[in-house]
Amino acid sequence: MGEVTESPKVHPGTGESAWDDRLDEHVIAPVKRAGRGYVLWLVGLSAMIVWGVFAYSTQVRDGLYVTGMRDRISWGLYISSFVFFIGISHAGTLISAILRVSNASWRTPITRIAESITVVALVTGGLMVIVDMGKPLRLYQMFINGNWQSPLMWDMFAITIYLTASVTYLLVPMVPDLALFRDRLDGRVPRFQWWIYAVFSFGWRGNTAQKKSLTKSISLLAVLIIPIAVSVHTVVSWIFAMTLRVSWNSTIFGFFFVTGAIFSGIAALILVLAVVRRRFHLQEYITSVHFEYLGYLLLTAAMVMLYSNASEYITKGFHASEDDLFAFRELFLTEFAPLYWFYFFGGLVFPILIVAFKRTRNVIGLSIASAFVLVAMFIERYFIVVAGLRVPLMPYEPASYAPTWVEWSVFGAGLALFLLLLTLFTKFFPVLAVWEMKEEHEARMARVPTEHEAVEQ
Amino acid sequence: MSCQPAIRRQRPFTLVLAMLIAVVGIAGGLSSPALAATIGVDAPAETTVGETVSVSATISDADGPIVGADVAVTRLAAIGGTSGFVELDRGVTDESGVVEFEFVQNADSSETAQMRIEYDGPDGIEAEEFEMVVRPGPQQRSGSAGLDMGFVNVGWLFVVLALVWGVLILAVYQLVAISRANDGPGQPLSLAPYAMVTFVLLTAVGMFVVIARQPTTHANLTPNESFNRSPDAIVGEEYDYLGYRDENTPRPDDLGGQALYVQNGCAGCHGPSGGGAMAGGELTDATMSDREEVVEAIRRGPKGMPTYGGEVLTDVEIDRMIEYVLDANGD
Repeated sequence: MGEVTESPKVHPGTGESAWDDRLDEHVIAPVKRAGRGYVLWLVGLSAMIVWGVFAYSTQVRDGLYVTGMRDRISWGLYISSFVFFIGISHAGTLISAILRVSNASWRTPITRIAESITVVALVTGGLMVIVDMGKPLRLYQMFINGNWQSPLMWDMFAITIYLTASVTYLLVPMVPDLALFRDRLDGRVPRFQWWIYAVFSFGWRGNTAQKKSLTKSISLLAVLIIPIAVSVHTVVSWIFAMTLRVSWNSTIFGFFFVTGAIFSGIAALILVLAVVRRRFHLQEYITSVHFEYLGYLLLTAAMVMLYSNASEYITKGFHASEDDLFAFRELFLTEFAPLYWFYFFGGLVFPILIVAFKRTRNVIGLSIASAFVLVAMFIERYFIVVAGLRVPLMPYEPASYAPTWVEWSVFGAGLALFLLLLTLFTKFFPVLAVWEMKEEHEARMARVPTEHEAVEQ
Repeated sequence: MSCQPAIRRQRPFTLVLAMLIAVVGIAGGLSSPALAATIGVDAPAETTVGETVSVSATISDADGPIVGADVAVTRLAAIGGTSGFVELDRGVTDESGVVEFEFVQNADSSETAQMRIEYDGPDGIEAEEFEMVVRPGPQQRSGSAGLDMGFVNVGWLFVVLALVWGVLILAVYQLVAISRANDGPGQPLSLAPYAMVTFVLLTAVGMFVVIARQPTTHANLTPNESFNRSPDAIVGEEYDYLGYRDENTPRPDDLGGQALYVQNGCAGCHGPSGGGAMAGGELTDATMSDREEVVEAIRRGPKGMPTYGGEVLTDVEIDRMIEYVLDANGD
């Protein structure tokens, strides 16, 4: 199970342990090193973004006509990816806030990455909506001529609050670690970079008053951010459910979307953790135990997803109207059937099997399962949006939709932006919650060893 | 076998009985053009949705006007597959047999209202039918569009948002506390935590301002409000096709005010003839009292309204447009 078992040696008298020093070095290491592969990676991502910006510029010039969206199917890849990214952003909330509130101590090494995924995914998702507006100036119209009784307005409020709260929630627990970077990296990194650490560590010295304020802030945020996150994805689902559309006319949509968000968020976290741990050699801290626990969470979420599917489709199918039958036919048998059944078997059943068997419940197995989940959840959002809009409201021929190169390019740029921001974050900021890990380690060491632990030693 | 003749004998008897009843019935029916009363109706031929309509009826019989008769005015209405005459007002005739009714015209403007005066006389209900053309008014529906629960209002949105932002600001404020408790060397940009609190505070206040500025439309469609809605197009009414303005072909100089109004997209927001719709307010003598201000608004475009520079609309054309709108909708 555990690949590396820690065996800390305490410096007699100092209280500082070799374990602490090694942790510091491990966290600081990425900041100083930059390989060739890393540069290539950055260049590749930037190229994708530049290409996406070019594609977007044609859209700004010629209008949304350059996309595959028309009057009848008026949402497509953009809105699918918006929902997808907002969904991924739930990684941070669930893992970090819920586990923090419930005092699950195993979370400490993975919280920072989860929280950074939240912020980065939110930024990307928010941009996708602005892209979907056609001309970005329409955002300004939301402020000036909006109507608060519109679900689109609610969405804007919810995402604004969520973004503000999650940036704060990323920053506040990072303050002591930024102070560590400030102290350790003075003169070892470019001046401006050091200045950033110095500014955003807010003069942290680790004294009692500061610790008290920090704890207070984190407690407030952890409790606050859970309802905010739930509300955000509920409101995202309401954009659909409050419209008069056959496939979206569902009371379970809020719950369904929140579950889907948490599900894809966990998958994203597992995948990012696997990469970060390998790249920065953090196997000592992010152990296979973490993956196992995350795997269980993934399993639970997949089960709830299966249940939601059953609840949604069986309820509707039992008293199916002609419109429901049209929606079911295209989803289960015709146009969207390959997508749906990939989502069902590849995205829900397959991950459950991976986690269920001990042989496959390891880092590689879970990474593969997570990749499947992410693809499947993107597909799910796609068919919710497009298949939902395809059901005719009047007796006309169903419309069709296929994303154009502009949409694919912008979507690619969105993915690239997500990865780029994440890469830059892990490069320049502490990827582990060092101070929390130290505190926990200290607490573990200070405790009188139980019989069980004594035997182990 | 023995009972068959009995049946045969029975049939003629039944037939005779039925015919007898029929003859008596018809005779009774014919003899009772017993329209004991005559109902005279005085009602406007055309009404407008939302208008208070006055209708009067005179009830009389051979002996002259009937005093103290119970009379009602009703309208044929349909809902959910059933239909029937709905009572709009009820009254009692005065000494000259006249009864005055008053009701608000709620009929759909796309149909002609089938009306009926019902007199509850000694021989049962006697009715006189008539029709009333219903014209679209400034709004088709009045009153709330949903379930009106007084305690469910925008106030709660403010309460929830205030709570969320309050906690968030309190959390961000801890950064200020951390910064102030710094007992080591000074830090660069010590104003940063204050700036962050200010930023979050401004975002919160901004959100409140955005909501407070916005109209409440769905549950509050009362007349004389700037966001009052009327139908974009009026069902059953035909509009001349005026063409869409092509930027490349010069516009004739003599286009009428209505053509200019429609071609420049004014109708999209202000309704087919300035009655107000969607985003734009109603254009009346009252709202357009200041001619200079109106021209300025067209030129500059307030509140998200498109701007129309001199190259799009000349001053003369604007004048023509205003004349048209005032003519069509002013008063």
